[in-house]
Amino acid sequence: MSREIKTGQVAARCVRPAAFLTQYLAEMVGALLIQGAVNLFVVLVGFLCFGRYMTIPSASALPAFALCLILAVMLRLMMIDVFSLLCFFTTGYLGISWTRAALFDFFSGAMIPVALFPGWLKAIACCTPFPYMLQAPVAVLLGQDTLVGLPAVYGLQTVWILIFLGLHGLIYGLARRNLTIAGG
Amino acid sequence: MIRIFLEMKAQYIKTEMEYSANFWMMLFSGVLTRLVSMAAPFVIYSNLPDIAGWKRDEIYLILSFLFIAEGLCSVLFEGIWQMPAMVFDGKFDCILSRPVSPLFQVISYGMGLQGISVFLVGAVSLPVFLKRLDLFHPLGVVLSLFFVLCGTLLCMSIYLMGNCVVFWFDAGGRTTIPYTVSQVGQYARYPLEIYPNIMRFLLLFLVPYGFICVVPVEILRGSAAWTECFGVAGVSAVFFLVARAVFYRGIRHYESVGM
Repeated sequence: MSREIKTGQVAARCVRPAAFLTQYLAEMVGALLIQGAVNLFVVLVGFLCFGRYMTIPSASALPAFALCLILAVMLRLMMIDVFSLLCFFTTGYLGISWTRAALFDFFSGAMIPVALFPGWLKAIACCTPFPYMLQAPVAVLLGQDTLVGLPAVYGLQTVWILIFLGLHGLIYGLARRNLTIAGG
Repeated sequence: MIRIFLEMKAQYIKTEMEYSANFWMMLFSGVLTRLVSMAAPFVIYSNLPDIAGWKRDEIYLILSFLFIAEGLCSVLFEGIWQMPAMVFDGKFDCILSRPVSPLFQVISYGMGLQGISVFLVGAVSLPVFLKRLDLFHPLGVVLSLFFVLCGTLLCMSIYLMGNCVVFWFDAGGRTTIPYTVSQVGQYARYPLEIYPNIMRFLLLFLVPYGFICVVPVEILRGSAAWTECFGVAGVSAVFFLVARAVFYRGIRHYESVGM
């Protein structure tokens, strides 16, 4: 979406008879399904090659994990959406994209598990939405400590989704109020 | 030529500063991404006493050399990353039609704003960690400047070779190969002893990020002989010559797609 904003192609998205957010979510979910299938294949190959070094998740954890994963994916999509909308004000997307990636990689546990963080840094991480996008689902699947407890994980994921929904409405409203399309 | 090069960079930065929100966002993202990179060793060392005998400050010194090389490459040679787009949309025709070296034109094209802040983070952290490791003496400073010079040349050569792939495999103005190469190189943020032999070979001779940051710190801390400075210079020179040859070979393979 950020590229569309930069090139002006976002104008077409704005005039379509469907909500801006609905279009974005539909597009992202479609792309994610394909990406998810590819990633699943890579994971399966990984298990076949290095399965003896890996932890096999317990089947009893799957229902709790499935809900946590769905909320995590929704949360991640909303976060990307809100960061992308900021491109309406910056005219560039690389800085925003790198900032988002840096924050996500570190605080989500993608770089180093949040469980290894020192106490004060762990507390800061838990106050951000990022651990609930990756660290929490993985911890639920493997039956490890979720840092805040499973009900709180679900609650915080939902709260952060609602916060990002609110931010989407606010930022998109501001952008549409004084929108100048460049290019297109 | 150098005056023209600097004049072009000055014009690019003026253009970028016209879009002030984006300008500051790019600088901020450069600082943030590098601070996050430095936070990773901080977390690791809060759980481990050392990594293969290396202290935390030595890891930060490795990162400092890497940041300076990457930052300078981004500021000075950003045009290399624009090559795939130039080839795809036909702008490379203009490069070939001007009576100036195509390589000079490519490297002087554009400017990576985030490179300014990446360079600054490295330029601040390098003397700090040299001092903390008792290496802030005339020889240490001279060697560091030499390693920065070689590292920047090597970094540019790696980027150039990676992006030259576009002359043979066009992928719609974007190619992930140079990005992947750069990501592989990021493994050289840690001592090479922790990796298996094949990975060490990869990081020293195929994607030689090891010579940008790890080998210089090995020489400075005394775990490698000072004569390895010749190795650093030699690898940098050889990779630059190979990258230059690949670039001109690629041009011979270039087919215009029209404007």
